[in-house]
Amino acid sequence: MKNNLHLSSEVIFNSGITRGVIIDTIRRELFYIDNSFIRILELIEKDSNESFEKMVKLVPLPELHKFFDFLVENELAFYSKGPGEFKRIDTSWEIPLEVINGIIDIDTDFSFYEKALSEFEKVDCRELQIRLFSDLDLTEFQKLVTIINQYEFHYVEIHLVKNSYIPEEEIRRVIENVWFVTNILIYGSEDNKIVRVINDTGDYFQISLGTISYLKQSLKQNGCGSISQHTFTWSKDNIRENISHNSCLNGKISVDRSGYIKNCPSMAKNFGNIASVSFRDVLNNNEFRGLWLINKDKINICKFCEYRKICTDCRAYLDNPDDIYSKPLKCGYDPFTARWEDWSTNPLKLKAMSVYGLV
Amino acid sequence: MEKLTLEEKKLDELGMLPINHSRIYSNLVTDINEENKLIRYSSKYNTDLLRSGKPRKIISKTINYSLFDEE
Repeated sequence: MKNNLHLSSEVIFNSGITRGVIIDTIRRELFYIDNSFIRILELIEKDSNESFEKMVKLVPLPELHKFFDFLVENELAFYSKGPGEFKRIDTSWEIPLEVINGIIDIDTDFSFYEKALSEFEKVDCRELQIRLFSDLDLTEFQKLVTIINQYEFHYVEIHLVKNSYIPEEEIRRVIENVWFVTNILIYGSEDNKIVRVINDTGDYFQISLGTISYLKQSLKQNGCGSISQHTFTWSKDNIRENISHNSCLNGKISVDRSGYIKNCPSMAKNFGNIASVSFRDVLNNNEFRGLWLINKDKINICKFCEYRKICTDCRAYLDNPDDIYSKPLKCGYDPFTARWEDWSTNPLKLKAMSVYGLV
Repeated sequence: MEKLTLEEKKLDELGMLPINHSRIYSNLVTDINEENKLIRYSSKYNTDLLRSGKPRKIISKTINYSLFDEE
């Protein structure tokens, strides 16, 4: 090699059982390649003097040059004059938070709502999802919003069931006035659409304060956990987290509609009721934290999948409900055939679906 | 977020700019007063915080994201 070839810092790659994939995290593009070229990418990443000789042993020289041209054309890699100029960025993951996000489910019982918010604030949880399963009237909704406004979060999204008591103006007002509430989702709507709450700034580029998402689907406890290409993550920070941790449960605490503390509200196992147990006690529980460390390399079938670094996970609905290391039930991808299919029509999943009340 | 404008440049058009990429995404200038409304001082963290439009990662997967393009 005349010049040194370097992979862009925004590019990651991964091998699967049938094929490999190069992921451009900035442009959100995937490039499928043969697994032998994944080995070439590993050698490029190593950037040692012997790398090129090893590459030629793996792939014929004309093919190798074609591959280099492909990388450069797609801006996945670039040449530099001197060796060692561009070191790869460390892929280890750390975050100065113990709890990353939380979920509060509320049905008709609001009694634990304030206690839950206070517990989330105590453990410095910054991102929160509040799911309201019952038909609230305007006064109840305003009360819930007034209470949350007394706390300090970075991001809050509210999931609501559509009803005639809460007008759209009120929902818009919440996004405009409650600084950290930026997304409100309304289930059971007539259409699927997203309405942006925007301040009109004349000729300037419009700044979105948040969104109201209208969804035809109904808000159901067992409606969670669907995995598709649309739930892939493209953030380098999340990808680093996924490599060593569970992409859904890591740093998550949830309170279900009866006030029980869980990893996820859809899971059966609880760690006590919020009325008597603090989040601090639960965070000290090894069983609770153990699920945070189930990464895709430990999950059956997922460990053979080329998407495992960018995919999200679900431990609540499993192909085999008795095996915590089983593949997510609501994933329709088969890495052995490299095909996406509708998971809900797969006859092999019927037994598990009946266990979770999905049929 | 509003859609960004995509500009494709040939590498020689970029001259001596210290960048390696020829595809550049850009948007129009925003109103600084409106932008400031997205920033709030937090006494808890003793710093200014920027309002988050999206969570750091998907909190739960209740939504069929395929219904919304590019969301």
